[in-house]
Amino acid sequence: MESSSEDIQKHVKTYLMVGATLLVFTGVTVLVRTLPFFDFGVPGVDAPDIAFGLVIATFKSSLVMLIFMHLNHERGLIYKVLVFTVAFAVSLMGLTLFAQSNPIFPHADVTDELHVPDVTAADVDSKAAPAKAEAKH
Amino acid sequence: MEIPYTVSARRDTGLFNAKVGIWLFLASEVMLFGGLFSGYIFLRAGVRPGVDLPWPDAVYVHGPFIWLGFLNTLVLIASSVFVVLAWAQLKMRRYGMYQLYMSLVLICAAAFMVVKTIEYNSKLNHHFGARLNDGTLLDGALVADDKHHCPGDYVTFEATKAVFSLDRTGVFRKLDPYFLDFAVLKDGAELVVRAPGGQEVRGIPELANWLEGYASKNPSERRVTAEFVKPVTFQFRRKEVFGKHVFADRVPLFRGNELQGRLIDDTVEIEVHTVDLQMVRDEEKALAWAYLGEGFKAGYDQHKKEKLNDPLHRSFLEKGGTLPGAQLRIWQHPHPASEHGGEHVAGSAHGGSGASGHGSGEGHGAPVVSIKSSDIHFMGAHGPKFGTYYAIYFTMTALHGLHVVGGALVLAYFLFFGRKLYRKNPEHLANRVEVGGLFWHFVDLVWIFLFPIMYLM
Repeated sequence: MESSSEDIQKHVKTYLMVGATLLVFTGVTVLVRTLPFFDFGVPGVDAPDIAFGLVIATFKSSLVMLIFMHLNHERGLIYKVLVFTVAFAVSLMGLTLFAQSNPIFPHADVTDELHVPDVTAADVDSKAAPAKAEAKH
Repeated sequence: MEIPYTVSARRDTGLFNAKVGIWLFLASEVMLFGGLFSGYIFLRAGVRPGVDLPWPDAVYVHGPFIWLGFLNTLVLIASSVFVVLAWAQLKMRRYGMYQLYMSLVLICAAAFMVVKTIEYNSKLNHHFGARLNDGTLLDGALVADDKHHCPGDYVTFEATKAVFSLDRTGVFRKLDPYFLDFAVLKDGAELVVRAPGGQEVRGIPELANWLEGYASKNPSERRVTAEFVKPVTFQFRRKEVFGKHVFADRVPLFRGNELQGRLIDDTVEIEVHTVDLQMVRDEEKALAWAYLGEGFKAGYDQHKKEKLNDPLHRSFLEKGGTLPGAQLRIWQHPHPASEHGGEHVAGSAHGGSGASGHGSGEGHGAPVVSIKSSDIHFMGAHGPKFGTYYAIYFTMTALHGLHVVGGALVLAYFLFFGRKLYRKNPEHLANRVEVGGLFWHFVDLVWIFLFPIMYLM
């Protein structure tokens, strides 16, 4: 990146702004886990919470890549390298889907699965000892 | 030889060479960490509910270390800002400011590693869990004495006979009743062995001599059994027992040696902070209660009731939602961090009485229980072998930690040995710092994903 001293001075402000944004969003990620207001879906960690956390992480990492790593104005060669990198990285994540469709130990082989029953509103009202475990055969 | 294109751009790429190099390197780094992230997804998504051990809840795994992880994230982000500012100062030819910002980067890196060390030390040396045979997980700390030995980790055995191996294969050329050396003899007992011929051998050095003599006289024999004149009580660290498994009448030791006699005490003392019954069939009859007693159980039941009735869960359930029942089966004692041990709970699993668990659920400190090792399915510190989560957690965070160290070393070189180059060609140093900074940003990027995944989800 070729820039004049004045340009750099302007960039410094951007870097500080981006840094502050990153810190704020890190706080938000923690709040997703600690504040009930940010708890999406079923209370506790589940898919919507994970998705929200990952969206924030992706946003933060995009800022780092675009601003700190100067990918907002870089030479073509680097983008070409990165296109391959992204393609292979996505494929790596995609490999996990194969494991889902063809598990090493399929469920069918399991005979003594432990089933803890779900809790519903009825368990709250009765205030009795909720949800006893029962073996499913 | 002058290395070309360290400052000026090559005409075909439009970049100085180091920049092309670092981006190719970062691409390979993405593949390295990508493979591990992919492995993480594979491990986590592959957990079959009710069959495999449940994926642990990060809140219970890390406890207060979530906030240290958060702190580390802030530190790393700050260091990322500092490194780009250091580069900007070089571009503006302000060497002093460059030094200041680069020093801040290194301070941040050191702070990150210090926090990491504290966290690892806590997991590897202070947190301990035991999964009992019925699926109960008791998590807490091994009860240790002042010398950081864990009395709970000892096996006490009264030996009447010793079986010595006469095998000289491998690296063990010398016959040595070495295990008698490290075992703690209780009450300063004297070690006298009656050899097969009827002769009495006293003390370890004589025993070693006699073994050598016996082996050379009887080359075809593989083992020799010798009786103790008086029964001797030994205490072993569990890790000194071969296969870590003790029998009622014998203790197999390494190198084929064995003690025979009577097992006196084979219990593990744990200060219980968390009880986890996700893998227990009948939680009312869980083995946990035989050890922890009614007081602890009352706390567990109370917690369950309170959790269901808190506004968040209640409103969710009243809207017709269903909660996975397993989620309610973890309870953390409200006062787990008792430095010098909690209350000793008198009850035992077998023949335990009403005497157990006095007040342990009422916030008087975490209870200490002695668990029979025959009731334990597996146990260990919260190291990589404690479970799949811990394995991938340590692999990824340690690899990331190594990257922090490596990056900091390179940046420290630019800080402490950069002046000469700056005087010769400031743009060259700026380019070096830019390239080092790109690596540093990548390390930050990895942590941006690692932190929520490992500490929060």
